[in-house]
Amino acid sequence: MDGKQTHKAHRVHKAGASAKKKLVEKKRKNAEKNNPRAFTMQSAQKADRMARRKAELNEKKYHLPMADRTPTIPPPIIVAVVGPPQCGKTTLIKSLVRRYTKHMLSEIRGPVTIVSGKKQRITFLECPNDINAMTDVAKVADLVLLVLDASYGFEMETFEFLNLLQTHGMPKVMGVLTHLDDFKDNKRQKLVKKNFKHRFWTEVHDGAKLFFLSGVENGRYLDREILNLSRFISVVKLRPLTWRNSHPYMLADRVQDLTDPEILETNPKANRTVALYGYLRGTHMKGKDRVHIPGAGDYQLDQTELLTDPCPIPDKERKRLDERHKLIYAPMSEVNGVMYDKDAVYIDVRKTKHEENAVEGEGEKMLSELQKASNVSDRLAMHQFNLFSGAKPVPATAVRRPAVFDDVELSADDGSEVDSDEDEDDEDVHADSDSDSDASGDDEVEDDDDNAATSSGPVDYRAQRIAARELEDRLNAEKDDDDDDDDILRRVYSDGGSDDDSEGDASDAGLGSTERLAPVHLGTKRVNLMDIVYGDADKSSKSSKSRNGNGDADDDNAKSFAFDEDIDYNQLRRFFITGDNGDGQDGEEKSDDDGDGNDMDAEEAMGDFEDLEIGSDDDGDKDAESGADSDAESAQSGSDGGESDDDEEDEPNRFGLSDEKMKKLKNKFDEIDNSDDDGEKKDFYQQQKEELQGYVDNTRQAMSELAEINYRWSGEYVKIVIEDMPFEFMNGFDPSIPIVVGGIPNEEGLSLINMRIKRHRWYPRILKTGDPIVISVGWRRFQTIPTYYMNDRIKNRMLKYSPEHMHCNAVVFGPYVQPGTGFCAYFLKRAHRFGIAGTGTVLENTQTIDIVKKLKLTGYPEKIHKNTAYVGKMFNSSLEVAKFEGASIKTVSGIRGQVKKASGDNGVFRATFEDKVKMSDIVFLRAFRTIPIKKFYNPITSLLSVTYMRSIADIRRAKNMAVPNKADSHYKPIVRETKRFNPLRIPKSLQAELPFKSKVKVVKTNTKSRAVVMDKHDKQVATLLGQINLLHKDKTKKLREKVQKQKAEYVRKRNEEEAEADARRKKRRKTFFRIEGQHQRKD
Amino acid sequence: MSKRDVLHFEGHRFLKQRLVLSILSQRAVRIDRIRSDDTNPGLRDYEVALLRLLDKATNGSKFDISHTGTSVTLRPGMVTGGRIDMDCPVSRAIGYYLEALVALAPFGKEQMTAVLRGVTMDNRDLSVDTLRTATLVNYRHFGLAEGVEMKIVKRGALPRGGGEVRFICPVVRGVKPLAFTDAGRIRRIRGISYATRVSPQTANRMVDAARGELNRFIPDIYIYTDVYKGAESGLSPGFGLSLVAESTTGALVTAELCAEPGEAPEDIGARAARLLLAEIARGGCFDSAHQWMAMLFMALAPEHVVRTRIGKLTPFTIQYLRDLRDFFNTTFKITPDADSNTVLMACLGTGFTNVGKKTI
Repeated sequence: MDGKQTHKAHRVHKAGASAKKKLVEKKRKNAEKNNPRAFTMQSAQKADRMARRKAELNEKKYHLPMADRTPTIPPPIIVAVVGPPQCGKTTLIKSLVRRYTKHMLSEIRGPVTIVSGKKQRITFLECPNDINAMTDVAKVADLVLLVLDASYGFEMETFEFLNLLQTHGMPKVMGVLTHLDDFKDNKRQKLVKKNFKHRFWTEVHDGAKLFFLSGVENGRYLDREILNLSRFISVVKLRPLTWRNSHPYMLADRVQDLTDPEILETNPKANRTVALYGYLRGTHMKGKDRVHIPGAGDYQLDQTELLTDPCPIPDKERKRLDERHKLIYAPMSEVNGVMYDKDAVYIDVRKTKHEENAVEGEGEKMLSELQKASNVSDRLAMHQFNLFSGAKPVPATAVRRPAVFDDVELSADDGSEVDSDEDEDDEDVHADSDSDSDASGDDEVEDDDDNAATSSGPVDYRAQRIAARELEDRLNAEKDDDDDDDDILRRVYSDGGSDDDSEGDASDAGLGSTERLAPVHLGTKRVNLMDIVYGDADKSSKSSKSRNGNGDADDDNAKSFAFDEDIDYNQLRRFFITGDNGDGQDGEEKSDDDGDGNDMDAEEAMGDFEDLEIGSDDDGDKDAESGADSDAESAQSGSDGGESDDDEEDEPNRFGLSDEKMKKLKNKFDEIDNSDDDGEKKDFYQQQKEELQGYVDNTRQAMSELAEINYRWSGEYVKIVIEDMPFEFMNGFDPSIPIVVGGIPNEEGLSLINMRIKRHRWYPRILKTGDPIVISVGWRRFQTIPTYYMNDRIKNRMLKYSPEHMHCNAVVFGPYVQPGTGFCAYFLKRAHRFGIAGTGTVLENTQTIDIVKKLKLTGYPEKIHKNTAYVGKMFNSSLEVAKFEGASIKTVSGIRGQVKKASGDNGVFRATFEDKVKMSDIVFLRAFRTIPIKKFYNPITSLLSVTYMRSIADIRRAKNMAVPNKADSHYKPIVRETKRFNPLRIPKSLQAELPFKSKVKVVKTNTKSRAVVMDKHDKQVATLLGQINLLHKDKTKKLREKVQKQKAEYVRKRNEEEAEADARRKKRRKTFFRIEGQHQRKD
Repeated sequence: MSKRDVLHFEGHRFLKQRLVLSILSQRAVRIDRIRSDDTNPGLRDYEVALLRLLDKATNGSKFDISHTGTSVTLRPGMVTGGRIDMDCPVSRAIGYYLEALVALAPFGKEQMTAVLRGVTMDNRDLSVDTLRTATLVNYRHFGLAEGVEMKIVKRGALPRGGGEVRFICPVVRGVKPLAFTDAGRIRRIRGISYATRVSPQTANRMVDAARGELNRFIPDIYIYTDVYKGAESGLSPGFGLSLVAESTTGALVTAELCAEPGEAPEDIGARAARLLLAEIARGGCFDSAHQWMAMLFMALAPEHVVRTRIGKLTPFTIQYLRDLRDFFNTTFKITPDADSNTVLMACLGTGFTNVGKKTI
């Protein structure tokens, strides 16, 4: 037989009953697939499953209800533009600002607020590229524009920032892909876009919006694309975030030093009085409130003052936004030639046109060249920082950290191509902007400035700060120098005029700051009462003493024995339901009105008494007491005690009906009552939501009423004054670093914070207990020493290192944090490309926690009785033994025992065991020792000067110390003597007594000693066999030799080939890395 | 960073509330000149006992009492809850100590079970009956009432005491915002007439006298007679009456009176009833003994506006409001209502949350 075996093919019936049946079935199945809903009810089980699934899906959608606190005039939404250096953040903001206001900003310093629509304002915020600033931005941004450089690929900053966002409540995120014009190849561009989109989706969420900006024209992105982006920004829907919904906060867009110059003259390092300006967001704020400024610490507000909105929404309802209402407010950037600095206002006096066009003389040219060259940032770019003595110098220019993952295609070849392109194009772009834009010089300056100040990577920001301060100083110096020249910046106000500054600012609109706490003389009692309670005249502590004198007679008990002798009993009647209402209504009628009619009276008659001990309450009560206390009541009405029954017997109801009948009637009434409600009955979730929203609405309505108390509300533009700010805050002030003022109601006590933490899967190291780490939680960033542990259901066991891929717990020392808040941990000194070391949530604030570590004490038996042994070398004194009396011990061989009592004074103790121990055994005692938690809390004052704790490894590195090497800690091969056991010898006498079965039986044979005599035939056979064996042996020997020879030859040949291949591979690798190295050097 | 300042106060008065507020607001407090001009200067035994109780109820608190006892410094820790067992000095009734626990217990780490022994009723502090039937019932306005329990195990009258009270209070995350401005009208009156180590008839005599006063206003009166016998009756004889009037909206008005030696039960009953009427006449959603409680839990509410109506601001409440301002920076809006002769109180909550409570 050859070929494949063939079977007869199956023939599908095309006619007949079975064919028809199949056809119907197929049709039905398709229909079911296409329209599953139509078929659900065919099977009860299926319908049930479907319903359950749907219910489950619905349940998943629920979030904890959160009140929407957005005020009627909301504060501008904060749009943070975030991205790695050189990816086009500034250009994007400039383009957007230009789109909204027709202004081209020359540089962006600090937040830029614009009116973007009839009801919307936007604050643009450029995020510097430094982990501290990024953390703060992540805490306040409402919408994040993640700028991605398509020509370079994803960078680590992006992922770090996304992680920061996730842990601090995820705001809306939109991606913006720039540098797309770097791709000459259309196909490749498409592929890159697609790859970017998918990666972005996995990081943010499926379907997250990613914009493609295809190029730069006139120093900004294409108008059409920016228009599209702005439309998306204007319709963005913001979800309230838990933390921001319960805390007041402000992003300062202007900072002013109000310190008396006289004080500064005598002591330049005196604490400053600082005014911070900005829109208040979140909840409300009030003078004397405590706030935290991330990077500066906790402060008490001296005052909060309402200012006129510098960027108001047009007051009248209009169809379109008028040109004159498209305002821009960026006090620290230069708008319309005016710039506010910390202590001065600068006005840009532009050159006249003809002056600009005038042909420069040779000398002038040279001067202007010199001006350009002396640009501080240029100089800075050439500089190198030495962070630590002996460390590698770090260039001031930004270091880019490409994000490389397995799933992102970035093969070396492709990357190199793109990179080389990018470099060229970058230059092109700059050249373009130089030639095209008016303020090109400024533009460049600003860009470089940005780099220098915000360079991230291994640049420690202490160095940065110093550098920034230097830069600032130099800049100031230059300004002073250039004052006489017709420089673009001319100083108007000097330090002395700081007060006038604020006035000038406020009076822009012709309105001073409004004083809400102005005394209102209305002649009413109201003012008097507030004065009596809170008046300044009697300061609480003193007044209490003076008014009440001393002595125990009138003490601090709330109980009143005031006895009004002249109670007007007729007047008193109106306080009772039986009394006259004053409207001529009878008491009974009144009760009918507010209750459920007849039913209520009946209930009333039954009477119930809120009694915690007995806990009786009637159901009927709930119906009767609609309104304020109904919910609270429900908590009480758990049990229907027998009490009410007694009452019923005591006091028969006034209808003369039997109790059963009354109950029946009541039930009937309830049913009717409920059925009426059914139509608009809301589920629990809806109810909770509405209740919460009700509170917020009430608060909104009460705003005017509470105006007297000087609250500042969300959405208002306020000035906050802080009195005791360290001078470093103003000295090292850099407008590009965001300043956030966050309220901290009741969050200042220090305690141990118990948290669940997981090492970030991209962080290359595991975390070590005792290594100081920075934790960003709430508004705060602080350095602290974590202790990692895990609970094994009995005890909390300390972990020396965090697990690699699992959650573990950590305890740190720090200020109170609301349990459930997310946090992010990172090291102050960046050691790796990915900075976020771990993330997690806060579980609990506590004052004490028992975290234990195993302690194994070993001892050796010194004397052994039957089951008792004297063990030594475990303790040093009898006192120590006394502490461990009754502790369970164990030998290595597994015999358990107990410590009994000390014997003698040298630490030897008597112990009993369950079996006899051997002298060679080791006894050990397994104990757990509570370890003390290190209470170290160091707020990261990145806006001031930073002092921080180094890890032991860092100190060792810095001091060039070796890791202590304990010989005892080494793992050595275990050498074990082989035990030799003596043969078992049974005495002869004993052997003799053994039963036959157990006796050793020796059978004697004498085969060896017997001689063999062969006859002739046998001899011949033997010889022949011997000869054949010999031949065979010889043959196999030769064969083996031959095979060995062949094998050797084969091995030699293979080795030769291998060596050749190796050489080839080596050569290839060498060329590859040479090229790769060249590329990297280019970057 | 500026150092967190310590709040300074002077005098022995309002010591309790300042210590309690210090713990709740986590602000350190220093109280000087405690009876410094007195012939017997320094803290009294009940004040020391209070400090001891607060020490037991919290974790991490540091109390420093000066050598002379005229100055106390408290660096507050966290409220822990758990089991607390204490013998209170008989110089003050258990109500004095329980009032502190009433403010603190809901914000602990775990459920508090406090067993306090001492005098259960006197004419200086709230009796345990009023605490049980009114103070703890008032918890419900703030969403704290669930699972709260109080049992009077033994009654102890002055001078020797011997009473015992068990107070159980579970923990909550936060307070519910209060919006309770309708005082309503009194719809029923309940009360407890207690007697220990005296003739059981005493209780009934007090009830009769009180009913005589109150019956002309409302028929729905029920006063329990509560006579403790044997081991439960403490060490000294005594009797008294605690009355609670409840309005249609759930407002509770209390009055109570405890017999001094030689007083007749009828007098006590009638006077207690008149005290109740006086209290009712003041109006408001919280009576004068519970104003502080309303103010405190209003200040601790979430960041919403909270309102209530109270009858007349007592000097005690006025001082309480000042202390609330010092500790929590909460100022109340106080508006007198001329029509009903009451005072409307409104404030914004501070958004207080119980940070000690665990999450899973």
